[in-house]
Amino acid sequence: MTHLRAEHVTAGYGKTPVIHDISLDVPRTCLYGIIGPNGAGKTTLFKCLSGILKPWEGSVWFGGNDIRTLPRRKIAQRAAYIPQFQWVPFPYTVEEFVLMGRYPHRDRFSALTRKDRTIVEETLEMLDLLRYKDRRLQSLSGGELQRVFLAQGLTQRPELILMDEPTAHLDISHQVNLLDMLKLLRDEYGLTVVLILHDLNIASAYCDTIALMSSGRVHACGSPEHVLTATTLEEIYQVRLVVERDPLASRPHIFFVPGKHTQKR
Amino acid sequence: MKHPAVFLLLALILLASMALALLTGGTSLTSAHIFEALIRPEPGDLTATLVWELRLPRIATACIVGAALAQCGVVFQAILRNPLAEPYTLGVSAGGALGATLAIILGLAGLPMVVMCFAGSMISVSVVLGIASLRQFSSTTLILSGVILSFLLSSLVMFIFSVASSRDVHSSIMWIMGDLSSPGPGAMRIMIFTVFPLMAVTLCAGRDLNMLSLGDEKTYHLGGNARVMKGILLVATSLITGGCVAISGIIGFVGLLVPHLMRKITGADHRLLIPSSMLAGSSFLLLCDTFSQLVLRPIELPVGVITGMLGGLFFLVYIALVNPSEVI
Repeated sequence: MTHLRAEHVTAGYGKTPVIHDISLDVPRTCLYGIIGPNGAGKTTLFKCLSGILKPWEGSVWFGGNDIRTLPRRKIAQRAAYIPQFQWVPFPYTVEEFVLMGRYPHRDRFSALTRKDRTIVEETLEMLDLLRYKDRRLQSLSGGELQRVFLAQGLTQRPELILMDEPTAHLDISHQVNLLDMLKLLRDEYGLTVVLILHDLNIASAYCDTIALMSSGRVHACGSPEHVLTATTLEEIYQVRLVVERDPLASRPHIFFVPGKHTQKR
Repeated sequence: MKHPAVFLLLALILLASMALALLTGGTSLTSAHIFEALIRPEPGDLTATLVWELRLPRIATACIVGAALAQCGVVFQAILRNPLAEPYTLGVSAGGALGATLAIILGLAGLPMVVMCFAGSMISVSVVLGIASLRQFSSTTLILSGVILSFLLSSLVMFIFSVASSRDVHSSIMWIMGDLSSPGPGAMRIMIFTVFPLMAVTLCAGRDLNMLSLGDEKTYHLGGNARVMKGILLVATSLITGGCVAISGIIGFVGLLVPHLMRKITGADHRLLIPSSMLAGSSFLLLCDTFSQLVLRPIELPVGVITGMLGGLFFLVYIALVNPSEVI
């Protein structure tokens, strides 16, 4: 069943369109990866999917409703967006910061309830952050911070999470840890997770569906086996590469050939 | 320390500062006389007049202006996501002062002067934000443009002084340096009808400020409307600042010092930071004001001189010592 759908979406900033006529279907309860070279329009597409950027043409459907007809608070109760990099100028503690994820569910004057605090505790527990509860954000490492940002999104108790390059700046153990966590959220809680990823092998190992973007269009879309072929990737990324099956999960694994940049003349 | 205990302590400090301000001042009075005058004021009694017409209004003014300036500092810092923003460093106070100076020179008093103050602060906020939005400004550049605007406006004030008649100038200069001593009935009216309600609105904005401090996009994704929230809060704080300038001239750095101190004590959560900064701002300005009356007695210093020195030193130490990655 479709959870999030883009229909012929064209959008951009100012007068320049960044994405052209994009259509895609994100089914419920899946890990959906969006990959593509820098400047392909991934983040712009994400902004349309989350409703913050209005498409010039086409429309975005979230759970059967046109996203333009949903009030932003209703969206925030059902979908969380975790940006690539969040700069927080003030020394909030982890708990204070994560608690803000409950705002969409509470009116201005209704105090946060015991239930809200329980949700925060549960989320922190799940992400192994409970011991950092009273630490200030500025004292955390990149990997810990990324988990805290995810924790804030999860306390919104969303059905859909959009994450813009969550693995950027993380070492391999934190990357695997984070993606395992997202997989668990999909399996245990039925979450739909849409991610922008740069690491093709991580995308291949974890995503159920991958959309490959290039120059503002979806170039290919489907299972990792379908999208991650040497021919397609060489064409898009202009790099020589070899695609093999990884021996454990038998998913495509990409090997780059150094020094073989295939710039078009 | 638990939060109720912190608030209790802040309230006790405020009460103590009020008592100190009541008992000391430009004129020496015995505490017994003061209590007597407080409980049973007799018309014509000198002590009673001093207490009821000078000290108590002055204490009330210091409390309100201190709370208001601290609150404005918190709001500007959160909205601009800049820990060095406050009415003084952004040039908002200077804008209000220019408006007020023009009003004084034009012979306007009362409501028209207050309106000029409001207009001045609103215009300077718009100018700073306009400059900031032209390009994506770093936090330092924003403060720099605020400080430069402040210089510019102060020069304009100086220009007006230099061509105005000397009688207007002296009273204006004393007032512009920050003077809590003579809140007239007009000032009281400004407080009650504009500054108070706006402060009440801003007091309820803790969670909006929490969201806004994470940026416009994150605000959207937490279900808030950044443009509306920012609009309301910026207008409210500019007007509060304008009102404060109309009441007591330029009192700088309260909005910088107090919120920074309170972040160390109550934490960064704006739902607690706003009320705690307001309480602490009242005590801080009250203590500064009492000090300004005592330090060179019988000469009374403008309180803006005291806060300016403290704030300037703090600013320097902050820039010199704090590790940039910790600041932001």
